[in-house]
Amino acid sequence: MNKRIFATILGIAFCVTYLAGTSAMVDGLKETTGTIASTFDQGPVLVYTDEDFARSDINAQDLPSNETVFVAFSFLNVTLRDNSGNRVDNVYAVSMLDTEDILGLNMTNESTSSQVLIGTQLEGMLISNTVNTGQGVQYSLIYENQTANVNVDGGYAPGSIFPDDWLLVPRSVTNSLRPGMNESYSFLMIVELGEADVDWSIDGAQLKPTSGVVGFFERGIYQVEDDLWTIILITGTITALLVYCIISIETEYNAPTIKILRGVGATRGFVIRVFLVKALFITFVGGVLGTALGFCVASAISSLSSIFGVFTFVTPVATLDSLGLPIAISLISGLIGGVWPAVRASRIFTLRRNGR
Amino acid sequence: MMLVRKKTIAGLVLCTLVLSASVPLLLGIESTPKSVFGGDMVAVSQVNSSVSLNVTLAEKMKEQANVVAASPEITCFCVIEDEPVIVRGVQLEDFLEIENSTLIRGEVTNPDRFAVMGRKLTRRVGLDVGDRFLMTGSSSSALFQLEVDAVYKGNYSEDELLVPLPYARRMAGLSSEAVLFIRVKTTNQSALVDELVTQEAPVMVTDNTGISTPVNVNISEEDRVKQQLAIKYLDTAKFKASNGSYVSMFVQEGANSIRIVVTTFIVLDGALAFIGSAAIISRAVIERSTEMGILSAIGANRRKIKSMVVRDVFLISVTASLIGTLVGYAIVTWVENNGLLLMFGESIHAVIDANLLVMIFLISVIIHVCSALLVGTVLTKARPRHLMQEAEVQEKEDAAPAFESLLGVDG
Repeated sequence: MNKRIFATILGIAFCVTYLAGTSAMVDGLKETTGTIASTFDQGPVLVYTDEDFARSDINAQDLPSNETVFVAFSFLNVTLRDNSGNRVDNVYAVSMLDTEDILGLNMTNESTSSQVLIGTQLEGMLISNTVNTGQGVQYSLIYENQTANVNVDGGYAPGSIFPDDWLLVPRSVTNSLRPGMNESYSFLMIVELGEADVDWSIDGAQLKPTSGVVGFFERGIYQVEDDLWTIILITGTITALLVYCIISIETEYNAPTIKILRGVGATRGFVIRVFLVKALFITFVGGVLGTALGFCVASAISSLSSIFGVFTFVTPVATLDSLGLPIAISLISGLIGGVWPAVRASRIFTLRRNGR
Repeated sequence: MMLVRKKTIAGLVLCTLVLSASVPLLLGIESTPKSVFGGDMVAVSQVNSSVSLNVTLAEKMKEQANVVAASPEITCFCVIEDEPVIVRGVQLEDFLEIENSTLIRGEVTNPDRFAVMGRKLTRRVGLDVGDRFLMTGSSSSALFQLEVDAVYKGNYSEDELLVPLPYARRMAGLSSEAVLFIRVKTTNQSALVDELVTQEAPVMVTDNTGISTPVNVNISEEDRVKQQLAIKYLDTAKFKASNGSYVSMFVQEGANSIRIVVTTFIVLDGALAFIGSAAIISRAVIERSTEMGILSAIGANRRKIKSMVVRDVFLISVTASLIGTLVGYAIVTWVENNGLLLMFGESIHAVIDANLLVMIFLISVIIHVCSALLVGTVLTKARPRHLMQEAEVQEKEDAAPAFESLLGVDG
């Protein structure tokens, strides 16, 4: 191998180093994030079919077994009216099945849990709308064409897992307001999944932990990953142009060889094939070398970061993307860079031979 | 006479673009959290998680002559419609005043229960005024069913969800009356700090450059060391909301990882620009090997040819770097204005300032000139006699009759 080809391979390797190093780092970032996120407890998990709970519907037959600790909620968006006719729209009336009394409200049995409890914030909202409040006060709850009357037994303690602007009512109330929901719930809160329910799932249901910070950072870093891929693709295009440039220089160096080959009778196809194989060989070797170098550089930066006082667990990760993309880009651009000048050189020679 | 052809400018512009189109965005990725939590204001925050900051301090600060506006806030993090969203607990009027923001759709009728979304956020999560959505807790478990009351347009961020402070306290597990920080627009930061000293509450004042000043913090040397470590660890200017909990570990780790990845990108960007520049200049110089041969033949030595190459590349690179920097600036501005790049639910605010642009321009010129020096050194090593012979051969080939006409065969 002569020095020039070695330099060409080295040039391509440096270009590929960039692509391999950055994509390996991005894959490493993704894996580190996923691993860290999975180690945190994110609290009870909500199961629902629509983020608007008034439209969410979970069939009662789909509830998990008794081994699972959960609370099932029936949720309605109602209008509340007092005896004086004062009203407030958009009040959330909720009944719940809490067999283990997780929430401490003694709503363990839907058929006998009959108390009506009001949240402190809802009480404040009612007062500001001049609606009567206090223990024993009667309200009419209106949902579409249905009406149900309830008497408030008291307030529920603020600071529980659900907000303070709900009105907790017996299941019989939600059933009478919305008869279609008799055999279903709006959403579930899974506190602890039993062993028998490891594979439990509901078709079309979404899951969301009640604590969102880990999910936020996980998705946030995935957004960063997407951004970095965008930058890689932009710079990848430029890298492709550079590889093309490098390999075409190498091919143009061989213009006299092309002329000789054509002069001794080689067909254009044969000449192009020779340079095609040569370009592929050079870019493949350069690609592999660059990929290895990219991983080394990325690992070195990750390892040496502690010298500058930045500690991180992110390490480059080899995936199909981080391995395949740099080599593919170098091969494609190398192919074009090798063939196109060869085609041009052989064409020029043909024209000259034809006296044009 | 120019030895390097002017068309080389196109390739060198591309190399400059590698830097100018990506570095401001990469720096923006790193600095976006800071702009989200501080903006160009002063942030008064709690010293550590054991000493909470009381919301009433904001009211006292508003009474000061040097304070233009003060907004007590709690930042929380959650996922809405599978998108990461920064939820900011605010007193709506204070927030709108300090951000100089306005509601562009809908209205807030109940100051105790509202959800106001930023304009960009509504597009991202596909919700608008009147739509209901589920919001969970941040570091504490909680759930809220909310309805979008209004949409705001802001000067700093339009990617956030604004909720009342009590909601945010529940999400972050804070006690009643507590806030995480108070953003202050002040005409005199020194006077603000002096006034805070009289309030006796231990606080940390962080300016828009990230420099933190502890106020009313009188502790033992041992505790001071621990506190400094805690402050350093929490990196307060960036993520106030971590609240000293385990979440800060995740936040810090995430921030470090991003910093490392961004540094890797910038280092490799520079290397790519250098290699690319060298490749393009090599190509340009090789194209002129005939002229170099002639110059050698008439007595130009290697140093002379090399200096001609470097001079030409310098002249071309000044223009190429200028064009590349300006085109990169246009690309970055377009990407930012359209909110194409996001991180942690916030549009990336690319770092675009005169200093950075000048630096990119200078680095680009230096890279091109260094490449020219390298290429000039390597390529002018060819012997003058060899170059001269090549030139002669080329001239003869060009002047020679067609191969077929010599054989008497017309193609």
